[in-house]
Amino acid sequence: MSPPERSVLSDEFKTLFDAEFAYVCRSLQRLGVRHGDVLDVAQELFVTVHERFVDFDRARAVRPWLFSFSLKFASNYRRLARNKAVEIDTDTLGARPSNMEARDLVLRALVDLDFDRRIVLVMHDLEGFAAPEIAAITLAPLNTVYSRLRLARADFRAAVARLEEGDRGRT
Amino acid sequence: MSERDDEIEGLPHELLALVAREREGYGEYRDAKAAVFAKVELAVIVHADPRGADDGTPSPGRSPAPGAGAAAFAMGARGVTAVAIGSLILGAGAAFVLGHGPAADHSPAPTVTSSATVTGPASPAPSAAPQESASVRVGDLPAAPSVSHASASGHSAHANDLTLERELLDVARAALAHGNTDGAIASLRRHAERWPRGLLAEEREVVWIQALVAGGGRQEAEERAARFRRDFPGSALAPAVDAALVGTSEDRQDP
Repeated sequence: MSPPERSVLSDEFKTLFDAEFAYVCRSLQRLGVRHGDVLDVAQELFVTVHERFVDFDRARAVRPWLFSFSLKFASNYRRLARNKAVEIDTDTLGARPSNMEARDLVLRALVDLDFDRRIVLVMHDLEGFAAPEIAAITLAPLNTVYSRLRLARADFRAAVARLEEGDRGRT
Repeated sequence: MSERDDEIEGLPHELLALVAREREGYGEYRDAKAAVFAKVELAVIVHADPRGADDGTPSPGRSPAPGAGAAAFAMGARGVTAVAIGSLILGAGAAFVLGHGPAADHSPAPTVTSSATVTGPASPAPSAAPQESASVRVGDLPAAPSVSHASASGHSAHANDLTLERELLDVARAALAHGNTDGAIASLRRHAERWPRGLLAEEREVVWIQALVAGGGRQEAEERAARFRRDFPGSALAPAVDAALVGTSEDRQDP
C-alpha cells in the first residue's frame, strides 16, 4: 500500500518514501535491527530524513544517503540493545530452524559477523556499494574497508557452513 | 568495483546465489508503509508546529474537517494540522463522527475552510479515577445523555485528541526504546506544549522521567518526579515513576 495521495509532506518526499521504504527497512534488518523493531526505527529514521531532506543534493544517488541513516540508526539501536543486554536478532527471523529459506540463511549468517565487518559485507555484497563509497559513508580508511570485506566474506562462508551443518543435524 | 576488489576472494557460487535472493527481498514491509507514513507525517507536522492550530483557548465545539486536502499547504499551520489529523484518522481506518456530517469516509475532500482546525482537549484533563462506592446503585446514577450532533462532536474531538496524544507519546516511547533520549524528550515537549493538561499528561510525565534517567539527567528526573507526585497525588502511575528512578530496566513499568 502506498502513502496517501493527500499529504502535507512534499510530493518529492512522498515519492522518496514510497520508493525506498522497503529498502530502508531491509537495510535496517540486515544491520541487526530486530524484525519486530524495524518499523519503529524506520519511522524515526524517516522523520530525520525529512528534516535533512532540504540539504540533500539531488544530483547524488539517494540510496547511499539513505543507507548512511540506516547505519546510524542501526548502530544506535545496537548500542542500546547491548547496554540492555538484549540478544540481538533473536527474533529477526521466523522460527524455522530447519529447511531455512535462502534469505533466512543469509540473515542468520550475518548475525554471527562482527558488526564492522557485517556493515562492509552488507554494503558491498548486498547493497552493491563500491569500496570507496563504503569508506566515505563509514568514515573508515579504504584499506580497512578492503580488510574488513575479506574477513567478512571468510566469516560469512564459515557461518553459512555452520548453519547448514546445524540444519542438517536437526533433520 | 575497483581493482582492489578483485584481489579479495569472492563468495563461492552457491553463496552468490543466496546473496542474490536476499538482495531482492524487499517486499515484506510494503503492507506497513501507509501506517508508518502517517506516523512520520504526524511527527513532522507536530515538530514543525508544536502548538498546531491551538490558539490556547479550548473550544469544545471545534473538530477537524474530514479528509482535508493538500490545498492546506496554502493555509498555514491550522490547515496543515487538520490535514495531518485527517490523514491519520483515515490511515488508521477509524470512522469518527464529526460535528457537521456523517462519519469520515474516503470520498473526495470537501472544500477546506479556516474552521478546519484542531483544538486542545475538549474537556479538562481527568482527575484521578472515580472513587468507588459500595452504596451507589445503578438506579441512582444519572441518566446517560441522549446523543446529539453536539455531543457527538464533543466526543469526536475528545477521541481525536486522545488518538493524537497517544500517537505522539508512542513516538516518544519508540525513541526512548531505541536510546534516542533527546528525540523522546523533544516529542514529550511537543506534547506538553500542545496538551499541557492533556488526557495523557500523567503518562507523558512518566515517560519524560524515564527519558531523563536514561539520558543521565538524574537530578532533573528527581525534580520532575517530585512535581509529578505533587500534581498527581495518588496516581496509579506513581510506581512507574519510582521504578524509573531506581533506574533498572527490570523495574521499569510502562505507563
